[in-house]
Amino acid sequence: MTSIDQAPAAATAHSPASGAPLLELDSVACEYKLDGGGRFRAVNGVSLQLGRSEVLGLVGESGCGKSTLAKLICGLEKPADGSITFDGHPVRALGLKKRAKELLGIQMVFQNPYASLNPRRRIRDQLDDALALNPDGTWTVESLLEAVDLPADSAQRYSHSFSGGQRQRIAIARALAAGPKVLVGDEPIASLDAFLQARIARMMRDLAIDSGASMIFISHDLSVVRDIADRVAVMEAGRIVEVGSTEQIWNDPNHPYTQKLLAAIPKVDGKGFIPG
Amino acid sequence: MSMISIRDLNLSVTAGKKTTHILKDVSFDLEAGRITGVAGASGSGKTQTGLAVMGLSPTGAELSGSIDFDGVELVGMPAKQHNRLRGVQLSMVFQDPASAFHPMLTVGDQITDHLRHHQKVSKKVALAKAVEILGRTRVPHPEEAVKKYPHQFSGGQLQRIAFASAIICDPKVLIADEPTTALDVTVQAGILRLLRELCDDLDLAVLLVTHDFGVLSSVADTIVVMKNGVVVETGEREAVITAPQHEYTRSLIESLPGAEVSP
Repeated sequence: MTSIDQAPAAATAHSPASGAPLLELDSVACEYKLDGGGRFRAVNGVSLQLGRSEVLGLVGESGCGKSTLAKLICGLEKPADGSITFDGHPVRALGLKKRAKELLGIQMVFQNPYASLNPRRRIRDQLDDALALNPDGTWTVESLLEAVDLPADSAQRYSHSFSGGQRQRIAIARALAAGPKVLVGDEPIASLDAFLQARIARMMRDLAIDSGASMIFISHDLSVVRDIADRVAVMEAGRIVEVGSTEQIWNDPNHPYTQKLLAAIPKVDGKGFIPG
Repeated sequence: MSMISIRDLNLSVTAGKKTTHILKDVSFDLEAGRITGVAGASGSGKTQTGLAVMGLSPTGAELSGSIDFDGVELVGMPAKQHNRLRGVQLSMVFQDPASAFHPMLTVGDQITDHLRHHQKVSKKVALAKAVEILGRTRVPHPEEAVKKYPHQFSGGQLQRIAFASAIICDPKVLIADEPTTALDVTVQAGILRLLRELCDDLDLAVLLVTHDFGVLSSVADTIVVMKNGVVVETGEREAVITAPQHEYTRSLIESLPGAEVSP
C-alpha cells in the first residue's frame, strides 16, 4: 500500500493548540461488578498520551485490561475514575443517544471481522453509512476499496463471500471512511494467520498516517507491534508498567515484565530453542 | 521405519455440483520421537491432513492414496475399526482448549472416558491414572483438578489437561492442531516445552500443525510447508528456516517480523 492522494486533511481543522496531545488519558480507572458483590478493577490509574500522526502500540497478556482501555477511549465503557480528553473535548460514555459530533473522530476496528460487519447488507451500504459521518471527506467507496487492496466489485457483495483477511480490510476501510483522527485497533489482526498479520498491520499504519490520523494498536504480539508502532506501552494487570519508544522497549526494556514478555517470543532462527 | 507414512494423499469434497480438491498428492512421514511441523497459510490443507490421519475428514469427502500406520492402512478403514485406534493409538489436541471440553462434566470424567472405554478399567483405577497423568503434564494440584470443571481453569492449564487426555492411553501418534495459537506467548513457551518433553519421553510421533514459524523454529524436528493442498517443501528444521529452497517458504518467512533468512 503506498500513496493515497485523497487523504482527508481534516486533522488540522480545529486543533486547539498544536502542541497539546490529540488524546490524553489521566489516571483512568474502570471497574466491573463481580458476581457476589465484589468489584474488579480492570483498568487502574492509566495515564497515556497520544500525539498527532503517531502510532502507539499497546501490548499485554490476556486479561490485563487492554480491551477495556480501548472501550474506554471509544466511550463504550464508563470510567470509574480519571478523565479522557480527545482534541480538547472530554470523552463521555456512549449512552442510548447519538454519539457527540466532536467524538466521531475516534473510530475503532474490532478483533473479529466476522462479527463486526453486518451480514445482511452489501459492503457498499456499510461503507456509505460511515462516509455519511464525514461529509467533508474526499473518500469514496471505490477509493476506499482501492486503498485496502480489494477489487472494485466487492462493493456489491455481502460480507460472507470474503475471507477473514478481506473482511478485516473492509472493517478498516469503514473506520477510515468516517475520517478518524484516532483509529483504535483492538487486536485487529489476532484472528488472521501469521503471514497476513504483518501485512494488515502495516496497511493499517500506512492508511492511518497517510490520512493524517493517529492510531492506537492493541495486540498481545510484541513482534508485530514492533514493526509498526512509534511508541509502545506495556500493560500488566490494569496498569501501564512501561512506556517508551519502540526501539527502547525492544532493545532495552526496563521493567521486568516487559523483559519477560520479550523473552517469551520464539525466534525464527531454526535453532530449536524453546524460549522462557 | 516410519510410524506414519502418508503417500499421495488426495482429498476432495463435493458439495452440490462443485468438487473442491483440498489435498493434492500429499506425502510425508511421521517418525517416533520426532515432531513434524506442518506450516501453511489458512486454507492450505494442513488441518485436513491431520484430520485425515484421525479419520475425521468431513462428510462427503473423497479420500485416496495411502496413510500407513505401523503397517495398517488407514485410508478406507471402516469407522468401527478406526474407533479402536482413535483415542488409544492415535490422539489429538485441538486449537481452542475452551471449546474442546464439555463444560458440565468434571475434568476427571472427561479425561478418563476413553481410557475406561478402551482399557475396561474401573472408575477408581482410571481416576488414579488421571491424577498421575495430570501431574505428568504439570497441572497444579492434580487430586483436586480431577474434581473441577473446565471453567475453573485458565487457557494454558486447560491445554495441559487436553494433553493429559491425549496421552492417557499411551498413544503412538499425537496430532496437535495449533495447540498454542489461542494462548499468550508466556504460556505458549510452557506448552511447547511440555510437547517436546512428551515427544521425547513417550517416543511419540507428533504432527504439529501451526502457522507460526516461531513455534516450528522452537520445537519441530522436520518441517513440511503446504500451499493450497500441495506440499511445497520438506526438510530439517534449520535448513528450511535459514535456507528455504522454495520461493513460497521464503516469502512466508520473510513476511514475519524479525525473521532471519539468509539471502
